[in-house]
Amino acid sequence: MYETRDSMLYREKALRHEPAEAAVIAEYFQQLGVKIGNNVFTGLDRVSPADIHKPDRLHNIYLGLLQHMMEWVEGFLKKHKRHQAFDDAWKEIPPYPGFSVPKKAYREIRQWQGNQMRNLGHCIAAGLASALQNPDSSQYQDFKSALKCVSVQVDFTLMAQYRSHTPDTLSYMESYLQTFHRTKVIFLEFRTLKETLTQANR
Amino acid sequence: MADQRAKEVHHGTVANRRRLADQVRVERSDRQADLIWREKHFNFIKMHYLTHFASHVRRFGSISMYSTEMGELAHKDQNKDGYRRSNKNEAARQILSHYDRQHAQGIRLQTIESLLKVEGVIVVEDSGMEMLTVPSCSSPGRVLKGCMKNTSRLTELCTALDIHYSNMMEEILRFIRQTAADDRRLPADPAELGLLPVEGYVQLEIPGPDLQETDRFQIHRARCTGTRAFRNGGSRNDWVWVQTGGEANYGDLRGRGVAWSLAPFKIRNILSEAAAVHGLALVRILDPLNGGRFDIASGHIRVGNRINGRDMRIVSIGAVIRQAQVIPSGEKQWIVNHRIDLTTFNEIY
Repeated sequence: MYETRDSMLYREKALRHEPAEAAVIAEYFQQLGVKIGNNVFTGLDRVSPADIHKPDRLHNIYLGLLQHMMEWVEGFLKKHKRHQAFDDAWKEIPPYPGFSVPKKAYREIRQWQGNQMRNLGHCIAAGLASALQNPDSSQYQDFKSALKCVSVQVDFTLMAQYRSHTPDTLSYMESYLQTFHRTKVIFLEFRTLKETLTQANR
Repeated sequence: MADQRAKEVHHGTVANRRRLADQVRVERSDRQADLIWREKHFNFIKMHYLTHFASHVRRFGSISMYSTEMGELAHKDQNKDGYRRSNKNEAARQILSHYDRQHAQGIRLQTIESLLKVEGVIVVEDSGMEMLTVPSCSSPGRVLKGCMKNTSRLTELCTALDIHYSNMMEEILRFIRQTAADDRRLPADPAELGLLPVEGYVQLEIPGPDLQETDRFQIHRARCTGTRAFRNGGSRNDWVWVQTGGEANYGDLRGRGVAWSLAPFKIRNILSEAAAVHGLALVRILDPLNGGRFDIASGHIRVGNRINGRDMRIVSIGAVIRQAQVIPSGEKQWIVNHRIDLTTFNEIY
């Protein structure tokens, strides 16, 4: 089990460890895989050394991964002329507890906020599946791998939200990531940077 | 190079010049395509970062959520609310004392809550009274809210919902035959059923345990306003999950069916001594396509309207599990969005 670590508890235990040199506490930390000691950030005002190295979901996933993903998805929809179908599906999304129904069509939203991105993450895979229904024979494989690629990314983000992990859930996360790398080639053509485009048109 | 060639032969024939110009154009577009192809990649930092998530969890525990919302909300709690409650005259001191009072109350409530968990009985100060309390972790029941007017008998409920009385009666009799025969059971005689008092509602509250925190409950509020408007908008009739059979049914849905909630209602069996109240819900059930299995192409489960057979069904409100989210896809078909929350994601895979 990989649960959320309680750094306050560790700190308390480590403080008790110093004077008494209790072997029991040393053993406890050994099992947790945590070293006793202070790093350079210890003692700085308003700095919690235990939180510094942690990746955060807001900037990495919602405003990072999902935002990039949507750029590719937009390009993909445009290429296959499914933009309108996606907008229609987007407007039809029904309410759900903890999910605010989008008031605007997808293309009308100019700036995305963290919680809007979170909302998007919860419904993008199904919305896209609805927009990409009834493909013709030449589109079938493309649509299938695009949906797979988006779905595994969403699965990864959902599983990253678990408060405690087991070796199984971690292996699921790793397998989602591998599937993403296997299928990402479908979106490669939408990964051109603006700089490259200007350079090419020069 | 091609440009040079074009200059050298500028005095050639028209056909020659055109051929060379075409060649130059093709070469340039090839060069552009080649450059774009070489520069396309997925090597950016946020993509790479994901590879560290699993190892990170192994070393440092699960990944926490950071958000600037907390700071912004704190500004509202600490300053704005206080200012609104002040008399706007030398407000600083009033804001401080207001926040102090709110904070003290919050701490007091937390203390009482933790005492409840430990003992189950608390002594109220000064009064010397003992209050017996229910342990907070027991599951709260389903609650019906928002009583509809003029629905005191089954006939009136049918009129309000615009459905045939005979259909309703048929379904309710079918439901009664499935329930255990005891003194709480409703009469299986249509004439007697028609006399029983009924109350129709527009909202069903379904508490369900939170996936991440075992002592908390998420409350789903399934609304069924029929044709009436909900909060100045259109009418709202929510989708719900209904337990319709054993785990072996419906493939990956494991016995759960998606249904459109029409009306939850209470019916009181005044003819028996127990006078039991039954909480029932009228739903329109959808059929899973492909046997309730994930569609290989789209990776989702699809549901559709029942083509033949009865789609209206009466279920006990206990069988309504929680709200569902389905997205319309084509004619009378819907895609089940199983990624809408962690609980659903955990159950349907």
